[in-house]
Amino acid sequence: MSTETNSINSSEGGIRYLILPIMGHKKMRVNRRERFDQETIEILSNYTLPQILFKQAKALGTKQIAIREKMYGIWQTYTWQDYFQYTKQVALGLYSLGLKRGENIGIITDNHPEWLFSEMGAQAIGAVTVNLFTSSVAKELMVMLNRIQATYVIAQDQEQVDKLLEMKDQLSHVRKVIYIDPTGMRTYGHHPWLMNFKDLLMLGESLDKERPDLFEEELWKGKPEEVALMIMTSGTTGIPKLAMISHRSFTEIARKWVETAPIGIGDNWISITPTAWIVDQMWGMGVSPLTGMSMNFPETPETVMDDFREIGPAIIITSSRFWEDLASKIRVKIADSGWIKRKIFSLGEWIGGKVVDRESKKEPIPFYLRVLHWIASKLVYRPLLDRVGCAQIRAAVTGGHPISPDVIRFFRAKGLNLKHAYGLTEGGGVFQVQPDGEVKPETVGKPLPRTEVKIAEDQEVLVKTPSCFVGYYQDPEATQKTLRDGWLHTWYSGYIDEDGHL
Amino acid sequence: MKAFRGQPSIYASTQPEKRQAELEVRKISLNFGGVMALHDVDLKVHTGELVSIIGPNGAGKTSLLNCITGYYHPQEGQILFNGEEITGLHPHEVTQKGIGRTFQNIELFPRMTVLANMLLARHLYCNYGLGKATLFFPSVRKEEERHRRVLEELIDFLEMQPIRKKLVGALPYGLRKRVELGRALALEPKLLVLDEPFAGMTLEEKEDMVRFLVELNSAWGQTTILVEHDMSVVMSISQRIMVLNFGEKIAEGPPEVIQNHPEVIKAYLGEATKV
Repeated sequence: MSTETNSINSSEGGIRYLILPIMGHKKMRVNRRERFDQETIEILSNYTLPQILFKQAKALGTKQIAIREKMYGIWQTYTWQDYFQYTKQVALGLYSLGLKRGENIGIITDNHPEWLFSEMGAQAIGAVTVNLFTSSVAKELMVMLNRIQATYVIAQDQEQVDKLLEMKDQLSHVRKVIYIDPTGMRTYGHHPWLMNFKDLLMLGESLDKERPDLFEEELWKGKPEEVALMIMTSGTTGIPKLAMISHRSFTEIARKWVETAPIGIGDNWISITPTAWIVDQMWGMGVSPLTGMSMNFPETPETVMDDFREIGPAIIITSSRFWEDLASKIRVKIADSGWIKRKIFSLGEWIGGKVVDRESKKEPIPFYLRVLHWIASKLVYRPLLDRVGCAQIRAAVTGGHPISPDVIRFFRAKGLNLKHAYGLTEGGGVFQVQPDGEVKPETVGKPLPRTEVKIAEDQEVLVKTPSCFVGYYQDPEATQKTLRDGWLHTWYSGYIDEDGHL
Repeated sequence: MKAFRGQPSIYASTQPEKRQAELEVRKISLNFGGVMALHDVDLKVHTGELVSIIGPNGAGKTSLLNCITGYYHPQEGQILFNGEEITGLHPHEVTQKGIGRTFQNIELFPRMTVLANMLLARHLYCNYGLGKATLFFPSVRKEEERHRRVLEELIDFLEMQPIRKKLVGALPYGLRKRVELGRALALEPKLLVLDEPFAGMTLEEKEDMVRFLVELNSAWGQTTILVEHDMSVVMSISQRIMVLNFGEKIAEGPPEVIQNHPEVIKAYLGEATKV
């Protein structure tokens, strides 16, 4: 996809675009990407997330694609203007239903555009959103919704609605359940508790016609320090805690990513982790609106591998299991292939391994090895990465459980920029990434900009970052334990090596 | 957006008169040599109904379907569809009249993809000739896009996205049945004839299939004839049931009546399954 190279001056806030050819990554096929400059991003980060969307819709309008969703076998696109319109309709729809500033709403959706519209929409009128797992059983949903006293719930489909109906007696605080996918819902008739997402959009549209200034009035009441959303974290106590995250936490984390990773307008992110997790929250709500990256939603959970390849994301953050699975799949396929292919592959492995070893030891790479590596990359690495949809990846980040250094080495030997990262929901997401060029398999890298990490006397990792969370919801005691004097106590122990890697 | 998932366009856009399916089977008899497969069988199906035909093995259920869809030609009697006689027509002519079917033993092309198999059913709606197709005229392209859209809507409805490009031969049995249903639906049939769509399916696959059939019938008014052995399915979804035994109709009526019909219990259901 080519992007326009003219710089655009928007009327508001003087947003400027800087055209930066992406350098340092010789394997990039796309030569030019528009990127926001630091200043613009810094200005943007003084707004709430929906306000940023508002500004981006003005700046990027209908020229750039904000969201893609595969449906009916084709990637359906939504421009920034579409994104904003739907968000506005959801916001006004919820407003006319009676959602008040400061109330909490529950969102139980899969990875589809409606998730973003709902979350942005609710936040635009000052509500706090909590994403729940679609895989939760009815009781879990009930407990969590009770805890936040959700006034409205947006549910994906019949399956989720059934769970809520089962628990209806205990959910007296929920005024309405809005379901997205109407399939199979015909028999539910006109249940007064339920509402179609389409009707919500229509409700918003008609209110917009009646009171055209209302949305912006509500939108600009938002302050970046306010809590935007809450994310469930697995506490050591077993019952998940709710980490309150402000608009600023997310804009901060997005800024850090822009400063460290080469991402720009129109770059692709594929949304495959549950929306209740920090990773997709951070990207969909934070990084994407701030940087103009496109969010891509696969067709169904079963088609993810194909959709992944079609999109070819620019950056990806997944659990270590994803890479381990992929590595073993590749090995199995190679083992099944013919003799010649196997030989070429093992030769490629050997060359790649040598290069990676030397790189991590910071030794110079001899000329003959460079030539061989170049040949191998044409012959083995590029076709292989293309097959698995990783050819466009500029940064592949793995987090969660420790990944085996073998797997990292396997992919790095193929020229994939796979690295370790570390973060906490409470820290606003990932804050520790291995920088390009100094990846050490056994560490989780260096802190992102404006993040301080130190080791306490008892080896505990302490973090100080502006993207830090506000506190735990209705749990001052736990907040007190975790946040002391501005330092976030992670409960993990670690050490920092001589190069500053954690 | 999933919120805009709705009716496939072949259902949403058609006029009620185009969905009209009045089938009348008048006293048909079918003999194979000396074996009497059907004897004086009457059946009426009205627009929007879901009618099931049940009976023990060899009762003539599939024979009756084959008569309706033109595979067999009954020696006596008449079959009328929307007032037109279709008794002696060939299967492809019957298909053109608007009757689509699936088979007991799946009749798909195993070495073709799911999409290709379903596209075959769209031949009825192809308006271009060989010449235009060879040169791939813009009009051909447009038409192909429309066909693909129809299929994609059906694929979405039948939840077959992950398998659309797979070879049918590589699919498990339950999914092949679903593909066959998809192909029959791609014909945009006025009357859908299903021959044991649940046979050999796992419980989960059956549940999915029931969901599809109920949605098809109740929401989109698809007139359906169903031959099935799974009584729990038949009793729960059909509006009317006809019971065949040794080529003769022994009972007809709504599920509650059939369940308590003494002759049906004797011939087919058995005492133990009496509810």
